[in-house]
Amino acid sequence: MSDPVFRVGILRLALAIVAAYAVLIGATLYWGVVRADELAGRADNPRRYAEDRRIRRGAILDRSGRVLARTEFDGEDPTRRYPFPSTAPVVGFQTWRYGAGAVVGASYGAGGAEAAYDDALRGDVGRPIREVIAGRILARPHVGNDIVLTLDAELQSEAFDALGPREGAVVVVDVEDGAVRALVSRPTFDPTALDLDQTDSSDLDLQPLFNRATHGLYPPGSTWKMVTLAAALAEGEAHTADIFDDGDAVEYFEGFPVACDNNPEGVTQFDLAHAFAYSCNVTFARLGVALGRERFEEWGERFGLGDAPPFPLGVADASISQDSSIDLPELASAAFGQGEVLVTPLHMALVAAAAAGDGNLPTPYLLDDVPGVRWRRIADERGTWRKAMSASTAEEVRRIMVTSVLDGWARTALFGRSEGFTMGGKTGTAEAPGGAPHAWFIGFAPAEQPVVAIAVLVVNGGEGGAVAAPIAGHVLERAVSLDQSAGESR
Amino acid sequence: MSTRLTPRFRGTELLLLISASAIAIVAPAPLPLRAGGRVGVSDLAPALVLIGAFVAVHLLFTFRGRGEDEVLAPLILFLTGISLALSRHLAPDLADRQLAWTILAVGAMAFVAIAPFDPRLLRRYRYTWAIAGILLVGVTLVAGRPGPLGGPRLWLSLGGLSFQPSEALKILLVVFLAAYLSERRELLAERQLGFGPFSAPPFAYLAPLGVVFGASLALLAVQGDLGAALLLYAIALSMLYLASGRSGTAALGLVAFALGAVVLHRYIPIVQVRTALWLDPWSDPQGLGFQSVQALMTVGAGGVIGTGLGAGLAADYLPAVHTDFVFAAIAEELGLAGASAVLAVCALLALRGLRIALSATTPFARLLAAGLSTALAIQTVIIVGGTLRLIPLTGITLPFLSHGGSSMLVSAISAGLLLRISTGESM
Amino acid sequence: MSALETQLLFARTVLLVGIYTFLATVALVALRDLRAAGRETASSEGNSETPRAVILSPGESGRAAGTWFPIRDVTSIGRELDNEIVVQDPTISARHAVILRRDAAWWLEDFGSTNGTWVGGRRLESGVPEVVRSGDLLQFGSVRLRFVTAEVDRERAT
Repeated sequence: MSDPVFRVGILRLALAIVAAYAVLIGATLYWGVVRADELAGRADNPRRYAEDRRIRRGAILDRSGRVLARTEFDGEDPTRRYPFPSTAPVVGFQTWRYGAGAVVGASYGAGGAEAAYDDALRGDVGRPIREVIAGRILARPHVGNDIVLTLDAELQSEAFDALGPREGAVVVVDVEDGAVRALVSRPTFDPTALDLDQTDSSDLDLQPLFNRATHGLYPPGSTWKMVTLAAALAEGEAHTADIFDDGDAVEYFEGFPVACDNNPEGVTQFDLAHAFAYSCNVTFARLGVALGRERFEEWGERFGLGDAPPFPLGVADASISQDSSIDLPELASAAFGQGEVLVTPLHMALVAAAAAGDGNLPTPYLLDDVPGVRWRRIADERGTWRKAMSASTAEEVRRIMVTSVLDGWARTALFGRSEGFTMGGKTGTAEAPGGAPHAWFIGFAPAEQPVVAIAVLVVNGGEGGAVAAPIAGHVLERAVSLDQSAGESR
Repeated sequence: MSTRLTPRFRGTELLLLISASAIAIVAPAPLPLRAGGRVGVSDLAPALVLIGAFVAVHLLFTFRGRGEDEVLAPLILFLTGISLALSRHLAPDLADRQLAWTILAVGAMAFVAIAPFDPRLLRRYRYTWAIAGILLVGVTLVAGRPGPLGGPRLWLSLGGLSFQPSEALKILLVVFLAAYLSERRELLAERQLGFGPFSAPPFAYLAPLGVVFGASLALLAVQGDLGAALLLYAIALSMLYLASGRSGTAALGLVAFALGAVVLHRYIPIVQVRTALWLDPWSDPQGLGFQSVQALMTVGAGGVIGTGLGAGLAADYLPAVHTDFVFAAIAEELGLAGASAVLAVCALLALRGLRIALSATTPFARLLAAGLSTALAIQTVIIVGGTLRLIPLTGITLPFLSHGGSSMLVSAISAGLLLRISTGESM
Repeated sequence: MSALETQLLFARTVLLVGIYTFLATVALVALRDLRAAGRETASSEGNSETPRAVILSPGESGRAAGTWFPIRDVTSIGRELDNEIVVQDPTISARHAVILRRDAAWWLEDFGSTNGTWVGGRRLESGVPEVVRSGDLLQFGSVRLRFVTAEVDRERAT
């Protein structure tokens, strides 16, 4: 004690020790609290896997409350069940294995709504703060939220069956607000089998995970004539009363021959509605040239070319030739839907909805409700996506499309339909490289005051009128009756 | 000296022991609850045995009446109580063994504190201790075997028992340094205080120190036990600083450390690996960086209040969680709140040791007490800092908390020496 | 909350409260101890009441007669540098003797020194401590010191 030097040394050492321990506590705070969420969210954190196996993941329901996906527990072993395999392209799948960089694996929605609404399904959002805190303190398993989709499982099954084993897509949307009622893509996968890792790898050559309705880009064929029609009407380049003498004509656009080879035998003179119904390429090539490159492109943009609607599952951008200078033959063929235009089936359903409704392309949405939760944070975007044309132009286009079904190639859509069912639409047969053409149909029903719009694509299916139109008619009829019953039940 | 020893009531110790016992009893309770059963006597038996050992020590001290420090034992009961509760699910197979080691360690602590040997022997045979420690490590280098998880050869087996000689070297070198430096403290301090005609640099007096110390560091470095080498260096530096009272000594030591680190980094591959992993453990999260990454994730799983004792998942994912990474498990199960308190108790243990050093009666006792407490503190900082990625990770144990017999025994002997010094016995 | 959750929550709360109660108690004890130590230091450091050994005959130690060494609860005397009182006199052994405070009294013990330890002219038996009182004359080898305390005052103070 008689050594003040030692005393000072001890005091300094004590201060150093206190400071060092304070730093240790600070570091515990940093990793344990500040960075904790980030660490917990890492795909290679095995705790995430253990935690996820306890999660009561929410169910996915269709608009009528039918279960599209739910988790069942066998003791502590969870399994995700999917009672409606046809909904796979929309519902997606959840897996314990397929994590990017995950070695130990983690459970998460890996596609479709399972991925898009993963937070809600896991219970990470929308829960009252009290429940969250209690859950943390008591280490309770997460309880996810059920979500209700706009999808109609019955309609989805109908559309799935109607398309049959062919490659293609069917999209049905609500005309008024863009709610997606059915979104079929084939070939597809069985989500349960995928989670159990039972998928035959040879099936994968067919690209079952590729969603053709939202991500497949195809030339729209003659269905694009609807856009040319709307542009020509709105710009005054065509009128409903105009008579065209194009039946036998072959017109050359800078040496590129265009012929009107779809009109019935002997009919050489027709009005605008029938030029559309017979899908006369000459008339529409001429209308396209009359519009000119700039206006044609502007109208393409109005209908969403070069863009994609906001949608929880994602959509590929519809496109037109990236080439800045479209020459005359290209403009002419684009006007009747061949050329360089590429669109997704979902996009074409929205185009049909624009004609069936007030002239605007609605924003498609999928999430209808998250019961019992304030869920605005996860709600899909809704409303108008594109103001394409005026309501009066839309009305003219709609009538012409109804004529097309009554008098044109699209009438096959009505074969086998019940009395009193009416609709409008347009067929398309798009040349496809190295195979039969893609069969298209876009349309809506009923003819007056339409409620649902549709796009049908059969890849390399052949003639639109022969292949796609009957599917569309069948699905539309079911859609209208289901919509009525759903409306009544609400 | 053994005359006239009368019982002396130790109220503070009793109160603190009761408080720490409550913690030791509550801590293991959640485990049987979670397993779906009730908390029975058998679940609390380890804690009761531990408490019994400390009560015995308390009674022994009371009746001997030599006035040992009354705070140290409760602090150690607190830490070992937590350690025991953790071991029940971090390493259930080893839990009984660990309990046995802990009881043995408590016995060793009491023995060192009161046994009738002359503590001046420690000072008198300083070179013997230092050489014995170095020889032990040397033997390990030749005849040792790697630990259960592989890695450097740090273990020496004698019969069925195995222990880590580097742990023993630690305490032997502290004794040596305390003896050596206390003899020369006046010479060391002379120039700073400005007394006397001494103009020779004090380094001349440090030559034997340098030889003994350099030898042990070199051995440890060759052995690959970088944690122990770092620990020894830090202990020597702080004791040199205390003995000389010269900040310049500490600064010089730090510069030497920096130079040494650069050299080691250049020539020893494992140093390079450790440094790279410290800078970016995520460069190889499934391989070399696995432990570091998993340790951080374990800490991250704790949050503010933790998962609760027995609810952590560290045992499933974090190798060596019961030894080197026990702090990560504490942070996971007790959260920031509990881990901070445990760190605070560790700090109080070291600070109490320094307090004992302040009141120690001889220069040797002072330096010994200060060295032992500093050793406890530095060891904690090195392993917890490594776990939390403040410094490169080097595997050493956390005193009184980690699994491991040698570590528990050596820490307890340190505490026993501190208790003995606190009686004011001439050393 | 289920019964299990209640029990676990109870256990955790008790544990955390217990830990912090323990921590607070230890901190309190340590602080009180530090304050007491501070008071002790303040009252004894350089104070005229400090127990001390005043040099009467310095021998060859180089110290001036009349200067004094403070006496702590344990004060060792010898030629070696690690003693509390270092006296560099050839008649003093390396570790010569120790003054101890035990049971409110001061004791002097000889460590088996060559030239002996004396109290009031009587040589002590090596290893047998004897009580010394304020004013006693202590002799180590040829060095003589007067032991002075203010024991009465200190006892009143405590």
